[in-house]
Amino acid sequence: MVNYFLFSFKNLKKRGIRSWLTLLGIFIGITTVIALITLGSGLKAAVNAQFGVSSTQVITVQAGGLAYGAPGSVVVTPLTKQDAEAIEKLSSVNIAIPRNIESGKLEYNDIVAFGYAVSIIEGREKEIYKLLDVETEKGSLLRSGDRGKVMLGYNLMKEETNPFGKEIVPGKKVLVNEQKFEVVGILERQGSFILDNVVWMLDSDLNDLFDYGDDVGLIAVEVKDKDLMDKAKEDIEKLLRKRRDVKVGEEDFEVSTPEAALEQVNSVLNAIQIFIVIIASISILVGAIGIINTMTTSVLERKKEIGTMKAIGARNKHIFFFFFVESGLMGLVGGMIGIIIGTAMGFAGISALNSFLGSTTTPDIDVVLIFFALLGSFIVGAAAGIIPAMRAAKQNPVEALRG
Amino acid sequence: MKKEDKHKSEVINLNAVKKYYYMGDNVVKAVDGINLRVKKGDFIAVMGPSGSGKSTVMNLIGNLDVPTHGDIYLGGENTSYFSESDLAELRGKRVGFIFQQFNLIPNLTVKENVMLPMDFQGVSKQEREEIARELLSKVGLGDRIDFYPNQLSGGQQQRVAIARSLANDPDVILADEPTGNLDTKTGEKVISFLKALNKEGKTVIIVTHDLYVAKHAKVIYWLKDGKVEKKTRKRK
Amino acid sequence: MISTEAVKYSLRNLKQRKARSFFTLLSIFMGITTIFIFISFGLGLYAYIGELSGSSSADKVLIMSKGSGLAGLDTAFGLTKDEVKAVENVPGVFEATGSYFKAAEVEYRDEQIYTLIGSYDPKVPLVMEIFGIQQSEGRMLKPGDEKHILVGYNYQVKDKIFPDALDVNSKINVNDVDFKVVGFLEEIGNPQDDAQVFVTNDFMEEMYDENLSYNWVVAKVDLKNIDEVKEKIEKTLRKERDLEEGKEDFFVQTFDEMIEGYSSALDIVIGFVVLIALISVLVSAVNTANTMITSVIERIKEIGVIKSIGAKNKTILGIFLFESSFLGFVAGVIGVLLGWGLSALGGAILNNVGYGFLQPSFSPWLFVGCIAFATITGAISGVFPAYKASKINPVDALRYE
Repeated sequence: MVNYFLFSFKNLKKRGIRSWLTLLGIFIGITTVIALITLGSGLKAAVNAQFGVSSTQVITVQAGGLAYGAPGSVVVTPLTKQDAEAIEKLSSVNIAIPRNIESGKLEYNDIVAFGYAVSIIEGREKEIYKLLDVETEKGSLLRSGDRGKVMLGYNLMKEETNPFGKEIVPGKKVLVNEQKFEVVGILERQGSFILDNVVWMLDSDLNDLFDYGDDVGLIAVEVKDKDLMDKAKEDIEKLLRKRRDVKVGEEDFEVSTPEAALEQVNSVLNAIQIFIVIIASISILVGAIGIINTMTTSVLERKKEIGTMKAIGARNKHIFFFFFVESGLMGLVGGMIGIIIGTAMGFAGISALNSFLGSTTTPDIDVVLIFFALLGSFIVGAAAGIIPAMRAAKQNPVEALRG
Repeated sequence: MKKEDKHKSEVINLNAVKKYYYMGDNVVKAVDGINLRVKKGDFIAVMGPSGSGKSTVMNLIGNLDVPTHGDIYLGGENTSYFSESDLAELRGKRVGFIFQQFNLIPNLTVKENVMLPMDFQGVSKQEREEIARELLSKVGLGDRIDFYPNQLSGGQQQRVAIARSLANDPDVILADEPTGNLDTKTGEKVISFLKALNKEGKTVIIVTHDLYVAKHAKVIYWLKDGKVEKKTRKRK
Repeated sequence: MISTEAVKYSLRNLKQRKARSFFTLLSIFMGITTIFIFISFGLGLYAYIGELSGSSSADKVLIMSKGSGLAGLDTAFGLTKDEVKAVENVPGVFEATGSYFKAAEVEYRDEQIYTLIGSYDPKVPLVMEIFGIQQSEGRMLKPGDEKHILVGYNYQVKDKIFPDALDVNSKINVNDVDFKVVGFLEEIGNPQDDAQVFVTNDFMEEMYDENLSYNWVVAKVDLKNIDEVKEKIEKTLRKERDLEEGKEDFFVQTFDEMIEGYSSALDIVIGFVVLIALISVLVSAVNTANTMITSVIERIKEIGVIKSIGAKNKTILGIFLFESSFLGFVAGVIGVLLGWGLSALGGAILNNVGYGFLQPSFSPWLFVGCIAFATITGAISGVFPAYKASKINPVDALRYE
């Protein structure tokens, strides 16, 4: 009934400071929860972006080992270039590119920094660039025969974002593990902390520096068709099992579809987010306690009103709903304010995150979250008011009128 | 409404009604056996000093309370075993209350106060508004329908209360010390209003300790120690 | 300032409004309990970290790679035996030894897991000394041990790593080499560390025919001049590896410096969580203020009466302040008791699931601090209402309906 809301609203306004204090409690709690959830989602998106999983058709194959350091660095039996060739022959596979990732020293302007260098197989540059969606911001892409040359990730260019105190542009020379290389290109911004700080060079150059021979850090596999993803995974696993002579269930390698790679990270992030939100929810609970308090007082103060209403024909359920709706409204109003401020704070947090991580996450207004938050705050408010409302409804009119 | 019986012409009937309060081993006999028949068109005053049980009698007549012994009939229905909720609905339909302290709902406008009893009976919004306006102009407050009670004088508030009591066109108007919080002049206005209502055919019951007020009624029930001591009729 | 009557009056009031007082208490103590739990675990972690840097680690210096890989596991970095010798020759250095770390596939009765295999020189067991780790069963490695392996604590527990528990003399296979288990390490407290396996440096070199270089090096140095010695080590290594200052691909740290790094990280995490919990305390302060204001309004007449019989404004202020502080105090006590119980329970559970290093630590200051904090919160929330109460005009108050 529309009546209930209007009546409740007027009552809340009248009680002034006490209503506001109660609201304050709920809205602080909801602000915190919303801000943390928004921030958490933003963080997840930013972290996911870091892994630069752009293509939905790339399967990653790695040798089994520990997840320390760059892929392929801490493994028992590494994958080889021959493995990659064999995988490429599979019917469900389009191309299989072996990649090496090594951690090394980059020097420029007499300053040393540590980072990763990745390989480009000569003769297959075009395929690699297409698969990984690589394009230059300045200069040109590496081509076969470009020995002694490198491409740099976006962040390594500008003075503000690189650790060298000076801008690096195509034509300049840098030292990688004491060897001189000429920069031919700067790559477009990927929005990923990892990818934007990487040095690209030809496989033969990287091999000279790190001497890995035919060993391969990971194999990037493009599947012929998105729908063949699962079949391709199975085929690759079967093939590698044979090549490496391992039984089912004892694989010493890992074939991950794009989602699987991120699952582990996301599950950790999720767990953290849930944990933090639970802590923050305690505030909401405390706010709800405030509503219980306020409503109980309200019922006591309005005993005479309740008695009068019963005298003029109000049934128990009418009285119940008056107070029930009033407390629900308190929750709702507190929730609305909380959502607005919480979302604003979440956005602010994400901007800060963006500048810190170099990511380009756009904060999302999660309509579902807002809907549930509104619904939730009304429910919390109403639930807090149930007992006081029941007590109001059960009052004996004679006693109530006595005041 | 379902019973076609001898109680039909009686608006309210109290039949050997007692209200005892048990506190441990003590018994307080607030009302100790009362018979009261209110017929349509009656104008009754219930008089008595404090402690005579007249407040309890008023509560019983208005069905705000249930007796410990005896039966109460409201509009022909035996309400002694009604639940409070059902009683409330019946009460709202058949009895119009006027209180000594006006008891208007402070957060509702005058118009909304008069609309409220009809709301509980499920009357449509349009009808509620129409009737409220009508009643308020009838009591001479047609120009203040959007005021809040705290913006009105005592006499005006009581008039709103009267309008409210008429909202559901009840069988009987029950007034508890209606002039208790008003000065003499305003009080007189209120009483004459009630008299006028009675002339139009409304059954009116006033509970009071003020003989001057009681004298306006056609019949006076004199209460003492929870029982009717005597009954006097006005000669006119 | 506050007489016994006043105190009695306050206490009875609180008792009377049991439901209201209860809910206010509930608000405050929920926040306090949460803060208590997190700080106690924080303290526990600090203690754990502190334990690591006991007396047997203060004089140790670590040399690790500065690459992007995990410190100590970067395969691009390594110190050679000559370099270790050079470090040992630095004045102030008593001993220096290196360790290898590699990925390992450990197989037992047809089950396999991946973990780290490390090695050390039993003649110079500085690594074990640093962490103060002893064996829990069997023995540590001896010089000359071949195909003998020292494993982490969890291997001897059924279903922790392998479904079957291992014993001393059990045979396991690591990276295709068969080993005999000679001993189990003490429980370190986290699943990763308790699953590591160790062999001697010499044998590790045999296992891998490639040229291994040490992944990290520990040196025992003269405690009195530890900082100077550190610098000298840096200089020496720079010369050995032909690097300019500021361009080292390694860093030299005292063990304590490394621990400090962890402490700061811990500070941030704990700080953040406690901040969130503080918000709930904020909300409970709001609730308390609300309760007190309501209390004042209910007792306006009463206050008028008290004032009319001679109570000063100060007295009224004191009474209400006492009430709200007392509420805070009681809430604080309940909060820390509950927090204590929950922390202890949490610690026991964590211990059971293998994360024994996450234990709460209780200091008397934690209890006192939380209770004081709750009391002060109560007091502060009550200031405004108490002030309002004290300023009530007795004449108006007595007339209040």
